[in-house]
Amino acid sequence: MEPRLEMRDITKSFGDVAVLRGVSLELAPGEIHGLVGQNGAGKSTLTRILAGGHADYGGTVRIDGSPVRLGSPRDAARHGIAVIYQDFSLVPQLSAADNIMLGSEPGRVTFRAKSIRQAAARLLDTAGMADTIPLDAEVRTLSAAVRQRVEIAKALTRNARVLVLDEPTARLADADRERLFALMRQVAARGTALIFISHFLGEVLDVTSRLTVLRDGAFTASGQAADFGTTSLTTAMLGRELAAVEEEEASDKIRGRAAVLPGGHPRTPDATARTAPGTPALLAATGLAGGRQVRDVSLAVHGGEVVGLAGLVGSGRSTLARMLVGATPLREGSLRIRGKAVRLRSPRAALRAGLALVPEDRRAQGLVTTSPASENVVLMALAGTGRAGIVGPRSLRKIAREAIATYEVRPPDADLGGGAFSGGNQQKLVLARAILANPDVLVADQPTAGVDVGTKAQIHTIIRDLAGAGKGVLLISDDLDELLALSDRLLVMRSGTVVSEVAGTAATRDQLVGAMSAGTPSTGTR
Amino acid sequence: MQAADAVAPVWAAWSKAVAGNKGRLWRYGIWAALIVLTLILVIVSPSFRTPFNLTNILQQNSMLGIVACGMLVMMISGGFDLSVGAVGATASVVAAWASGHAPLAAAIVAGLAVGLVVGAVNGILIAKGGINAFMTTFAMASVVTGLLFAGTNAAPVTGNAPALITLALGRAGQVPYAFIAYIAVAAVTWFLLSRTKWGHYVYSIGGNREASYLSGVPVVTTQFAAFVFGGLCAAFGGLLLLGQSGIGQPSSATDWPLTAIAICVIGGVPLSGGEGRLHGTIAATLLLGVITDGLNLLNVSAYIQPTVTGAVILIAVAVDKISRRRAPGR
Ligand SMILES: Nc1ncnc2c1ncn2[C@@H]1O[C@H](COP(=O)(O)OP(=O)(O)OP(=O)(O)O)[C@@H](O)[C@H]1O
Ligand SMILES: [Mg+2]
Repeated sequence: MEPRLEMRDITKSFGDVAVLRGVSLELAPGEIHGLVGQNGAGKSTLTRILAGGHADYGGTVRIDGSPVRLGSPRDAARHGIAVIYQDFSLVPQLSAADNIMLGSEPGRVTFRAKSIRQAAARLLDTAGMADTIPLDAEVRTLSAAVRQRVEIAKALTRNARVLVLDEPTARLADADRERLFALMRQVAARGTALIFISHFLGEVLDVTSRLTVLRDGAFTASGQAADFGTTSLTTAMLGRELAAVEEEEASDKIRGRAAVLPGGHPRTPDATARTAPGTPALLAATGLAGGRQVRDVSLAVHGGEVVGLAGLVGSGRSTLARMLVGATPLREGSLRIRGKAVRLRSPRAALRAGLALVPEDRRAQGLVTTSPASENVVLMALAGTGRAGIVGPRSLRKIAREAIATYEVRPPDADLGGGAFSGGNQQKLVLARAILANPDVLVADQPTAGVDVGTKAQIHTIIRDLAGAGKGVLLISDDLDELLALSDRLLVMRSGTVVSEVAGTAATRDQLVGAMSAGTPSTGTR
Repeated sequence: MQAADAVAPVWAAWSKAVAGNKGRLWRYGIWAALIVLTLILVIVSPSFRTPFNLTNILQQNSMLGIVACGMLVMMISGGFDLSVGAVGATASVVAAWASGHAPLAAAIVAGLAVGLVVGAVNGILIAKGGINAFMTTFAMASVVTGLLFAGTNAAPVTGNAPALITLALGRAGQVPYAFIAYIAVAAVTWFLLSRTKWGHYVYSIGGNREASYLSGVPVVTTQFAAFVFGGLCAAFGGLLLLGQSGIGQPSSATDWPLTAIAICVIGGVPLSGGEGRLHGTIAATLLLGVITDGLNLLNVSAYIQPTVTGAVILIAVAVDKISRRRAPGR
């Protein structure tokens, strides 16, 4: 049988930096093909070439045997290639329906908002995603997870011959994830060839039939998914073994996806860094209400502890995080920092008071994509100091370079624009930026979305180290294993309020899932 | 005193209407400002409330309103155009000259052609060449103005276009023809923006050019066409300008670019593009007209008028900003 998609010796450089060096790939109709590799390996670049977004690639692409040239997104669409991009490629001001139909609106010249909406609703229906997306809401009002659904819907509705999914699960909760896999299998059954990119190696092994490993823009291994395990896959990706990953292998077998084992990180021993009993919490919130649905939330983060915040998409976790740092106004309730009542009117005031946020959507809220990495990294540290502008560029660059080295940002180039880094490396920049501000309490909203296994383990260590140094961390994650592995205490949010609290070491995955979903179904928006 | 008394009931009624509509009416904050100001003037100034004066305001602001329609489209697409004044002046001079040598229809076509050509060059440089709109249109304004002055020796050109004079100054009963022209252009703009794929794409490229490109939206042609449309509107404004005095004046229309941009911003279009509604632009056009007219009728010193105008703009924008915060879905 003719391969549906054949890529041969694909090359791509930015200036004189070769990012892809002769990558070849072959997909049969109906095949789900995994593509894995470290952050910056070149996966998204390959995706973008298929999408027609890099006209200046080298090598040949064939679809169903005939060579095609992918010079523009229109070319790609014409040849039946659809792509789900890693970082959202949505128009924030348009409605979800408009975004789903963007570029393939019905009609030739005229257009009616109503017919777009109907077409979008119909397509969602056939894809089995009806009612999972509020079609009339502007995309900028939607949470990251719902935006991800919009992105998926957009690609699924194109009736593609080749569908590329670049880290679609990085921000999805379990239920959405399963729904996506079911959809992928359904699409594959129609003969579409799929490329699936993910850093959750367990799920890659589960979902795909064959896979390809990239390292530094070059092909390193490929084969039947069945012949790989997470260890061998990690070794192929990194070119070395990762100690922590061996433990994951074991847990993976149970859970079907990669994560660090609970207990993989030592909890801070109570006596040392933990705040002595009697001293006020670093951060204490009482009766908070705000945003669309957050109400009556009280919580405390003590020095030396990581507090995990679990909940379904739409349970109000991100809104709560924004409220804590003054980005979303409080309607009710009060905050105390080290026992002193504070009123935070802006993230800047929060920084001064020792609270920093790692926002959930690095692209829209996190990174200044046009500024160099160095400026991105020191941004918060500057806002926090209150030194009015007079800082030597030298010392700034030095700080930035150190951070880039510490967090192993690739490429280690402080002058590269924020937008030119791969997704995972952007995430590292955003995290480094918050930590450099030296906050007493770090509020981290999905800090490991889209980072590779090696870096993920590293970020976990950083978070535990912060706690070890007597700081507090409020960790929001959709990855329950991550929460279980890192948290001293776990809070569960449901419909805008905290419904239960469990000790991190005692909690089980099932217990969490139960608490998160009891009674109320997941709602569409945040 | 009187003014304050007059506002209170209006404001109360407005707030009530808003509350009854679950906040949807807040989106029309700029209209509220216009209505309130008009009512105040109607109450305090007898000469303001004459039908002739009111229709006169419509007549005098139609020209800028038309230019602002073009600016609106360009700004939603993520750009703006500093050359609309140069285009307006050139179109009026070219049409004046042509009207002395050729039939009127040819003169009109020649005037509009100025807008078409300049808009197309702007469009190519900005949409295809990727040069920023500020640089491109700023330079274009210089180039065009220079050519215009060189070509005319800075002297006004007398035209022979009675039809344009009728269009600019005539009335159908009480209704000025110029205002009818404005409504027609506004209707076309509305249709293009909200009922054509092109208009939809104007919003999408202004909102996120990259995402639109990757979705298969023809970003270059869309933005190119936006600048051509803007140029045409400016040239049409130039024809009305010619009609107002009967002569093409090279040094006229220099205040158009900033005024038109201000109108759009007051009407709710962010400088970054991606959103904006025609009704806001219309309200803002009329608001500026009412302010100017009111100040004249109240015998406010010409020296202090700009200050008052500026202050009213700031208040209007503040009201609008607060309205938006209360609007649902933000
Ligand atoms: N516009 C650009 N200019 C310069 N370098 C770029 C540009 N875009 C990408 N790169 C570089 O190309 C390399 C590959 O990036 P790519 O986004 O393909 O990685 P990836 O495998 O998708 O990583 P991740 O898992 O983090 O998403 C990176 O080193 C990145 O910095
Ligand atoms: Mg990537």
